[in-house]
Amino acid sequence: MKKFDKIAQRQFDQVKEETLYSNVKEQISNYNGQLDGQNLPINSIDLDKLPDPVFTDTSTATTAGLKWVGETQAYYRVRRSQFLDVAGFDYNNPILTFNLNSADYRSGWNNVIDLTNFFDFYLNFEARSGMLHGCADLNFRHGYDITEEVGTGVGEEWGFDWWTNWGVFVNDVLVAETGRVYPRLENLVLPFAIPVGSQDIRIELKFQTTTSNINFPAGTYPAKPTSNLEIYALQLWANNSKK
Amino acid sequence: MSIIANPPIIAGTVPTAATLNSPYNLIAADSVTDPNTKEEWAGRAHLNIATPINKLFTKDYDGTASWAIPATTFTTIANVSATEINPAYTLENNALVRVSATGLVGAITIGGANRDGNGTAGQSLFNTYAFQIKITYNTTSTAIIAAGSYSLSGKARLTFFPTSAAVRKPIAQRSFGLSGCVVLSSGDVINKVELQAAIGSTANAVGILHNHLNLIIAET
Repeated sequence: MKKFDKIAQRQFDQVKEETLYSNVKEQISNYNGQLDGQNLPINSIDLDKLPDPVFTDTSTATTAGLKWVGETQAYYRVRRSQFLDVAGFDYNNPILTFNLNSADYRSGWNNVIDLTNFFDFYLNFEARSGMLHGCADLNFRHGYDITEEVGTGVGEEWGFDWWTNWGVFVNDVLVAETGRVYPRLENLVLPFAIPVGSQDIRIELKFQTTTSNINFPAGTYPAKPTSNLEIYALQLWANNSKK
Repeated sequence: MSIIANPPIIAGTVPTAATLNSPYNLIAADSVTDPNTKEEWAGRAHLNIATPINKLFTKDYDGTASWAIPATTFTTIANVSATEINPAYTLENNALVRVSATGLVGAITIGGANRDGNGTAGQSLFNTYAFQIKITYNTTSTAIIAAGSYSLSGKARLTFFPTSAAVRKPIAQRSFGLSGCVVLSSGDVINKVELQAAIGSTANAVGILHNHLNLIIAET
């Protein structure tokens, strides 16, 4: 708010104490909590006028993480990828092989943090009111197996119906899922967006998977398909755009 | 800046110079802080749209030419010209650099029996092709920000039957995508961001059709 002299001074008039006091009071009242958009030119706020962002490396022994908090937005990321984080590691080697014939898992949603060396794989931060959007990057393989067609000595593919489904959960609410992904090595980018208040946020990655070896005939080669779910790299990142 | 005091001026008493100058001196000596401003004092009009806080750079190839992945080492995709961004941008803050890429894989040819691997770990690379996004900054420094791999056929990495040597059906006409982010330092110059691809065995062929590369720089 712009305020100017309250009482005009005229040449040769006597100066009264109220005039001096009131005029000064009007002027300084701008600074006493009344400065607003009229005191600031339009188009005057740019990058140089805003504080620098604060970057924190949140990596752990098993994950590569970052926290980057700026004035208008914040980014959070957690990643476990030997290809990106271990020099010289090739792109065809999984960082986790999960044998669906012998490992413990549910037919419902399984939390990635329950997998070996993924216990730090989640995002937990205090969001500011606004939007939360981000991506889960999922590099995994659940391929079909080659087995013997019974008694023929001919190889056949077994497990075309195997699938894996991934979901992103924000504070235990499913906000995005891939749908069933059938046998292949795949790198999926799963985007999500959700409005948030000023609140604690926890983002987790969960999966459902299936195998169908129960009807596999005995005496064939190998004894049973392995039905491995292989994880090559997982990443979660989120952007909190502040209101 | 704290609240500025206004000393009273009393009738019949000549104010001193110090009394009269006091409010102005206090204003001159301090800086505006939160108590001096109204709530929600700034509007959209105060934000300078000529220098946005987020910068976006893109490279798109929307044509129909196919680019065959040539090598087991990563090579920049170039259907007609290289899928790369050359922003020559100097970061003002410790900026978050976010990249993403998408595209379509066209025809895939598996070059013969077991060219997608014979089920042993030593040949698991055969049934693979991969993408990565590489950034070059400060002229000579590089980093891989995002990566992802795909298989030519749907079979598992370690699976085999001794007499099985059929050519598996490839998974053609599929999309690919990858994203990632990294924090670079104030003053760093981003020279180039490239979308690259590699194939596990050059006996196979993978054609890349349209593809897209995005670079977003968030500075605060």
